[in-house]
Amino acid sequence: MSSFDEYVRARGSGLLRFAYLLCQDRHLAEDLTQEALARCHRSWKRVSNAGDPDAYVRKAVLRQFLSWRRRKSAMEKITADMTAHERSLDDGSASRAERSVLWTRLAALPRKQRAALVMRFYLDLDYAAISALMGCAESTARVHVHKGLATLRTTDLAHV
Amino acid sequence: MDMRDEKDGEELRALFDGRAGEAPDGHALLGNVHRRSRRMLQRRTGITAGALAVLAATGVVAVQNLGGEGTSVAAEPSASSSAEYPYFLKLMPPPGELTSFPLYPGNPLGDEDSVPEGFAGDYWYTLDGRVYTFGFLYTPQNGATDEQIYGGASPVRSSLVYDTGPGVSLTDGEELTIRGAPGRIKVTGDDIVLSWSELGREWRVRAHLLSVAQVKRFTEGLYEAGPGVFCNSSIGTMREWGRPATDSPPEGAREIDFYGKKGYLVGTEADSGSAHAIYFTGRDGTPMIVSPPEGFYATDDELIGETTVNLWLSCHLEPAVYGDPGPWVTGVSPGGDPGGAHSEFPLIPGN
Repeated sequence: MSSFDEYVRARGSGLLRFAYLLCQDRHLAEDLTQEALARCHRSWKRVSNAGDPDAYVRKAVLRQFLSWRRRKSAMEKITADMTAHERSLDDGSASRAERSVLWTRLAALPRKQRAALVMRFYLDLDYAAISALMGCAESTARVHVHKGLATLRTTDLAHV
Repeated sequence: MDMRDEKDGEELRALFDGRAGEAPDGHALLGNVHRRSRRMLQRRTGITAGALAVLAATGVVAVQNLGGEGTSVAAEPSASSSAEYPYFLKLMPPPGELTSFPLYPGNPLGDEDSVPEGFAGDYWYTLDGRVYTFGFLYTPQNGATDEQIYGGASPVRSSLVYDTGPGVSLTDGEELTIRGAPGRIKVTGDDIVLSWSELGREWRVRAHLLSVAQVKRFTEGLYEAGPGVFCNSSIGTMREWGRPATDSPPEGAREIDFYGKKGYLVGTEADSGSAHAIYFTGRDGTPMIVSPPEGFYATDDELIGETTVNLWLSCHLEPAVYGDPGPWVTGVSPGGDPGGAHSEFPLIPGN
């Protein structure tokens, strides 16, 4: 088994979870992850020899997310979030319902802010790591997180 | 980060932890990544848009270079007399580049997991006078490195699509019988046109998408399904899986004609990332499923229209419930993996 295969078997699920939290769509998450990994596959020796394949692959997924959304935005028109509606009806508990609302609000954030929040609060990356993945200054990463949180607090769901 | 951010951050942590469990489990991820990687390679080389080599039973190679990159293909016994690799397929991409790949004699029903490391393909072959292959070279061969193959710095940068059964070759004007119905192959540009006089029309497939065996399987399914099951579709827009059909077309959707049945393509669904169903809604809003033939796959991007907007697909027009991939015209089970082993490989003897 190649080192690439071993890597995907070991880390693939984690990458899918990361992608899913970024895009909030199971199928798109698969596409993002597959596309990113396939691109990394082509230069896997270089990636693995560089010493931190996790960071490289994660960055590839992130880039896919940012560019994918841009590409598809002109072609897709999302008319409703069926998942969110179903869950809000099914959950039953207030806290779950609130989280469902939060999830919907998250989807309305600018993609960089959403990505920054996922990296900060799901991956528990520090701002230096986030800025490295996003290709921005550390202060910019902080701003993305801060603004994202502020928007989540103030967003009127009716406008989501 | 202020206190309020910290508090909200904790809430987000809980949200992410809970929602992460909804992510796909990734059991098919590795296989899909390899398939996608191969498609990337195809797109990079461009050869699959042009070259279709047919390996005849005798080992003599007939080549149809279908408007591609000027690549020609030949097979010859291995100069190294390697028992393991008795034949080499020689690619001669322009200009002046020359390399060769080993052809591995193998189990015609094997899958890529059965192939020794160093060679892999969706389908593979033997040169014992029978069947058979549809293979992509994407792993290091003859000492070539990943960098050479994938980096484009080497002449080793090609993929092949070829297939044959005994006595069958894919050449212009040749007759091909599917379930007793005589047909004729016409080669035009990148397309192969299968003309069946009995049915009074032509079917068109993309040369780079289908091998001969697949063409047969494909047309066999069409023949069984009867007239009116083949479509020339332009992909309009995409709609999420699971959404109910609507009476009005999504914004930007293109109207298409399924042999007189007007409607709109409204969505695609990636089945484990490799096979896709196309969702079609008639003008009356009736949801239909269009299942592409086994062996066809494309990324959503390709389907949705950045590049490929004129696909010829095998269609299975049958009222369907969203969420159910429905039967496949080829008889392969829903979700059948084009890259996996096939217990059924319905090659039909040629004329």
